[in-house]
Amino acid sequence: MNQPEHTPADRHDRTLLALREQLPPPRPITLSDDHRRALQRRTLAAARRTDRRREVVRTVAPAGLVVACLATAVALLATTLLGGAEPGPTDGPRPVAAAPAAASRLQAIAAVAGRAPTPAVGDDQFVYVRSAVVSNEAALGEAPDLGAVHEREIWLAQDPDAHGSRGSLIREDGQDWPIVTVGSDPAGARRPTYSWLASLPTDPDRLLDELEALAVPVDGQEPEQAVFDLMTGLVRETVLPPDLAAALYRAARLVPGVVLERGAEDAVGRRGVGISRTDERFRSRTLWVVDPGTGELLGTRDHLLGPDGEPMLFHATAVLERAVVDEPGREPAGGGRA
Amino acid sequence: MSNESEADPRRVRRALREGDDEAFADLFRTHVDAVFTLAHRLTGSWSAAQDVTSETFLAAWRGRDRIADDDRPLRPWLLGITAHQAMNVRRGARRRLGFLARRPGPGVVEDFADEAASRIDDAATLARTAEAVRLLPPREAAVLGLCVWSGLSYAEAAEALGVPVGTVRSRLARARARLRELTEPPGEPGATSDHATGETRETRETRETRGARR
Repeated sequence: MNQPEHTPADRHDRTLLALREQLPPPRPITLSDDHRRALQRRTLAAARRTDRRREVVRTVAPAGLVVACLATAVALLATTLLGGAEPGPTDGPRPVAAAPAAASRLQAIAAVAGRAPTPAVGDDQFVYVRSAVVSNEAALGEAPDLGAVHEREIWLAQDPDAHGSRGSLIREDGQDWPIVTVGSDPAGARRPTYSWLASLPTDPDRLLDELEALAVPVDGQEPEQAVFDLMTGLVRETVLPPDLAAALYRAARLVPGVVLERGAEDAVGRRGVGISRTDERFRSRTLWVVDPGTGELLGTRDHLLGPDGEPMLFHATAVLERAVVDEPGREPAGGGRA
Repeated sequence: MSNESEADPRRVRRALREGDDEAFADLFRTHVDAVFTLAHRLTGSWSAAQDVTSETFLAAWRGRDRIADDDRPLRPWLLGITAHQAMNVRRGARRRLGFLARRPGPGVVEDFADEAASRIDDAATLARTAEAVRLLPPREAAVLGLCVWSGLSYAEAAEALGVPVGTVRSRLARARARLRELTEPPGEPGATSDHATGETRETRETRETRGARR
């Protein structure tokens, strides 16, 4: 930095010499290891998002079917997937920031979720989730146009290897859609395998630190919304370790803007505890419907908000079955079909 | 910066073109300090420098298909992107980049206090740097940052910015003339107490206000 290399012609350039004398550069910054790592994590996460977006654009023509498994429904509306999470944990316990009714129900479902039996999921297995889905079939920018309820199945490879997503599959609309990624795709926020989920902190504050570092706000989105969207992605088509499920619901109590919605129903009309947050940037609202008896996510609903805040449903899901299987494309034995 | 030799740039270029994310992580580790340093000088803000750094590497990754297959070091290219990104911040493109408008949480500054402390004795220089960047049109500030501070040759800066070498030369000359006209004499460090928080913009505003009252 102090002895920069210039071509001979430059070195004798009076303008350059004068400017260097007049405005000596401040000392170069060497980032601390922590800071560098946080920035790197954020950048690499955003790069992976970009890749996924590219791949989805390239391979999935009809109505963005595959993206919904890993990106949020809201992200479908965004045309750009750039952005970064602010790194940096905060110290000490955070205050409860969700609305009081939501906080109290989240606490209750966390307690129930934490008592669920621990499933056994091998790294060579696949997490299988079968859902009923209603989704928007209108073109981007048009008013939502809901299709009929249809079934969707997903097999997510649990192999933690950088190329371990091979074999992952979505079966929807009578067709198989292999999940293809560019480059490597290690287990992580974009591919939440059971063992990765089990590796997350189970202290709600620490978990939220981690999720904040991983969440990538899209195009001016509030960071809190990006965290909520990330949480949604972690609970929707996954099998959760009970400790993590409990921590995640407790962490949601610490997220500002999280509210309770009464009378919440999933895509097939099952009632549950409704937890939602409004995305002010994209004028939309994502709702979780949680089974109060088991703490499991029953389903989700996504609304667009009209000019006066009137909700227009554009996506709804209902999880019908969760299982762990040995092979992609094979339905679990004894799984009752709807 | 550019005098530190990069190991086998051709190999790195090929790996990046192939979408090798290990190579991308290596690229990040190798150049992050240089990119961050330039971003900080050009934006005067710790948090904006973080955003610009992240966006620079992302832009590099997204543009990997267009990396030439040759032996030239990658640093000038990255610093050119950095200058563009930093100047976008200057141009008020914050809304388009969205995330740039966000502020870091209070924990961030505390965590990186060591870095901030090491910069305090440098605060006067930093204030003058920020002042110069503020006074110059973005294109001239970018050339100042690349050639004068980051040590790129005129040819490297020209290529990094996508302009002819003569343009780099003339922008620098105009920058020098403008700064001679406009800068205050040295010796007035300006308010520096905000440096520990990285909010140099506030420092600049303080100086602006003072200038207006004078």
